[in-house]
Amino acid sequence: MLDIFAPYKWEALFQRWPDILAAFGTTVGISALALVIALVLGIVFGVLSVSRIAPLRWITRVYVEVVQNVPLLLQVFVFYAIFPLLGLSLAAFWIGVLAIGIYHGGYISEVVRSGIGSIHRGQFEAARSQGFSYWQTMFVIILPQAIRIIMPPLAVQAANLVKNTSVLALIAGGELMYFSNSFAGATSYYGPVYVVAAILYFVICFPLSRLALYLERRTRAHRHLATGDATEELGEDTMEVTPGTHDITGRAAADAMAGGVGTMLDTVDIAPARQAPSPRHPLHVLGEDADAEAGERGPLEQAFTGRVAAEIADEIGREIAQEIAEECGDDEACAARIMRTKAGRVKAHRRLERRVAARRGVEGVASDGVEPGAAEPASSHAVAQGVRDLGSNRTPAADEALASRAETATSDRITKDVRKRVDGRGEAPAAGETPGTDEAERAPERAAREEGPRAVRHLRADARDEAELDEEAFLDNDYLPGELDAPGERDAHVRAPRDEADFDAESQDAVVRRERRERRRAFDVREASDGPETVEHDDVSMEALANEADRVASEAAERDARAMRMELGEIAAGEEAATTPGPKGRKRPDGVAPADGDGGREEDR
Amino acid sequence: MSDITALFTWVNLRFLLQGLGMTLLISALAIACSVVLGTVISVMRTSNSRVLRGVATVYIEVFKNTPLLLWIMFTFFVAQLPPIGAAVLAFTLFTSASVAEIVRGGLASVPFGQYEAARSQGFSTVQTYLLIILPQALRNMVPALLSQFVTTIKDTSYLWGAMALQELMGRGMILMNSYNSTVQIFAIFGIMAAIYFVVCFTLSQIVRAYQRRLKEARAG
Repeated sequence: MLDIFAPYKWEALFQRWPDILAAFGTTVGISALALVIALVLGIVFGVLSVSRIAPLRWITRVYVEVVQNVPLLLQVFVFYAIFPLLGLSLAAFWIGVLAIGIYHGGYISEVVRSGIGSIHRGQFEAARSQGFSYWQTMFVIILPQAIRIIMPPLAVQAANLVKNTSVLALIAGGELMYFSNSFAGATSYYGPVYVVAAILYFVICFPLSRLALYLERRTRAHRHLATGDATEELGEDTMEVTPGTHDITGRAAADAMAGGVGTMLDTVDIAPARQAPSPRHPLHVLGEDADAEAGERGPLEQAFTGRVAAEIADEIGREIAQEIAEECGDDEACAARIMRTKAGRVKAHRRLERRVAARRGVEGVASDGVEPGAAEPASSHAVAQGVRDLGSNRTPAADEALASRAETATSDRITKDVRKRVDGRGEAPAAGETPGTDEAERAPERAAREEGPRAVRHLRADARDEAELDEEAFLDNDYLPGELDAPGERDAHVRAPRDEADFDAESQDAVVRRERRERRRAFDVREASDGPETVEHDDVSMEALANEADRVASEAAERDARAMRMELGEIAAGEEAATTPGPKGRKRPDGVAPADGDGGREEDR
Repeated sequence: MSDITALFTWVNLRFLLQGLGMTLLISALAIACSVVLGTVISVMRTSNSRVLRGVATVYIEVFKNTPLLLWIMFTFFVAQLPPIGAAVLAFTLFTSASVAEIVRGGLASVPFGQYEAARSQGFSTVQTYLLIILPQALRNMVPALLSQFVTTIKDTSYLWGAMALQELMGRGMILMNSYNSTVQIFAIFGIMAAIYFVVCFTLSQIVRAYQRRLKEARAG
C-alpha cells in the first residue's frame, strides 16, 4: 500500500512538471472565463428576476431551477453533444467555459437577486423620484450598493466554480483533473498525482474561501451604516471584542432596530432577523420613550430609527464589553467564560438595564411629569427617576426573591436599600415620611439605618445626594433583571402608601421583616460563638425560608432566561404561549400593596 | 417522433429507474455517514482541545477547497476500494466538511440554557448532546441537510465517468449506446435531466416549504 507513494513515482510525476503547469493554467483559464460568463449571466438574470414584468421573472425562474436541479455533468454532456449538431466544432475548453459559466450563472443570479432584495425599498423610490429610469436606478443606484452584500457569496461561488472545472476531465477538457487522470491511467502511478492535484486546487480555492469569509465579516461590520441592519453586525463585532457579550448587544440592537425600523417603514422583509420586537427588553424602553415624544408623526419622521438604536446598543455593548474586559484583566478567555455562566449573563443583563436607566435619565427622554411623585418631590432627579423606574417594575416574586437574597447577604446596608426600594417607595427622608403605623413599625429599621458613617450623609441628603445614593444602592445591589412593563403600570408602586390597605400591608411587612432580622441576628450570634451545631427549630425554619427563597429566585431567573431566549426567537410560538405568563398575569391590581398574592411571605410567618 | 416513443418502453424505464435507485442509495448512505462524521467534526471544532480543533479545521478546509471528483478518484484508484464503498467514502469525506458547518449552525441555534439544564439534571456530556441538544438542533438543520442531499444526488453523476458505477447517469449513457439517432440521444438526455429535475426540484421545494414553516413558527 505504501508503494503507492514510492519515490520513483514522484520522480516520474515531477518530470512532467511543464504539463502539470499547463494543466493548472488551463484550469485557471477556464475558471476565469467561466466566471466572467457566470457574472454577466448572473447579473442580467438577477436583475430580471426582480423585474415588474412577469414573463421575465418566469424566464429567470425556469433558468435558475433547471440549472440548479440538473447535474452539471449532464449539462456539460449535452453541450458536448449539441455543438457538433449545430455544425460547430468547439474545443472541450470552450464547452467547459460555456457550460460551467451557464451553470454558475444560475447560482450567481440568485445571489444577485438576494443582494438587490436587501437594498432598502426607499432607495428605489428615491432614485425614481429623482428622475432615474428603471435601468439607471438598477445599475447606478441599486447594484453598486448591493455589491457589498453580493461579494461574500460571490467569492464562495468562485471557489465552487474552480472546483467544478474538474468535471471537464470526463470530456477530456485538458485541465488539471484531466491531466491527473490521464497521467494516472498511463503510468498507473495513482498516488502522487492526485495529491499534487489536490494541493493545486487547494491553492486556488482556499484564498477564495478565505476572501469570502473576510468579505463577509467586513460587510457585517459596516452593514448597519448602509442599510440600518445592525443585527448581525453587532453580534459579530462585539463578539470579536469580547466573546459572549454579543448575547446582549446583538439582541438588543436587533430588537431596538426592529422597533425603530419596523415603525419607520413596513420593511419586515428587509430586516428579517427580527419581525416583532419583544416587549421585554430594556432597550425597548428607549424606543418607547422616543416614540412617545415623537407622538403622531409620519412614519418617515420617527425619532427613534434603527440607526439610532443600533448606535445606542453598540455604545452600550462596548461599554459593557469594556467593563468585563477590565474585570478580567489580561485573561482573554475570561470574558468568554463569564458569559458562559448564567450568573455572568444575568450580571451583564443587569449592566445593560442600568445603562438604559442612566441613559434615560441623562437624555431626559423619560416621560417625566406623569409621575405622581408627591412623596418625593425633591428627589425626582432624572437619573434617580430612571433607576427607580427600573426598580419599581419587578414582579412580586422577583421582589421576594430579591429581598430574601439581600437578607441572607452579609451587608446590612444592601438589605436596607433593597427593602426601601421594594416596599417603601416614597420614603425619602428629605421629604419627610408619612406618619402612622408605618412610621412606628419602621423605627428599629430606621435606627439601624442611621448607624455608621453613611447615616450622616443620608440625613443631610439633598435632592442630588438622594439621587446618587439611590443609584449607588442600585448599582451595588444584587437584583434580578427586572421586566420593564408598560408605563401605566408604574404608578401603582411609585406613589406613597395612601389608604388603609396599604398601611396594613406595610405594617405586616414590617413585622415580618423584623422577625426575620431577629432570626438572622440570632443565627449570626450562634455562628459567631461557634456553638454546637444542633438543629434547633429556628434553624429548620431558617432553612425552609432559604429554600423557599431559592426556589423563588430560581423561578424568577428561569423566567427571565426564558424571556431572553424568547427574544432570540428560539422558542416556537406555541411553547411561548404555554410557558410564559402573559403581561396580564404579572400586573398587580391597582391600589393593593405589593404584599398580596405572595406565597413566599405567607410561609415566612 | 416514433423514434422517441420507441424509447419509452417498460424495460428502458425500469433500467433508468434502477439507476435512480442506485443514485438515491449512494446519496442517502453518504448523507447518513456525513451527518455522523460531520457531527463528530463539528463537536471537535468547538472542543477545548487545541489539537482537536486544529484537526477539525484542517479537515474542513481541505475538503471544502478541493474538488469532489478528486476524492472519488482517490478512493477508487489509490485506496483501491470496491466501487460502491469508494463512492460512499468519497462522498462522505467531501460532504461531511459541509455537514460539519451545517451542524455547527444547528448546534448554535440551540439555546445555551439547554446545555445548562441538561447538565444540571445530571446528564453527561455525551448524553447531553445525544439526547438533548442534537434532537433540537436537527430540527433547524433539516433544510440545509436536504439541500446538501440535492447537491449529493447531482454529484453522484460523476460516478459513472470516474468508476463506471451504474447510477442514473451511467444507465442513461449505457442506454444511449443502443440508440443511434441524434433525436433519440437527445431524448435520453432529456429523460435523464427530467428525472434528476423532478427529484431535485421536489426536494428543494420541500426545503423551501420547511424553511417557510420554520420562519413562520419563529415569527408567529
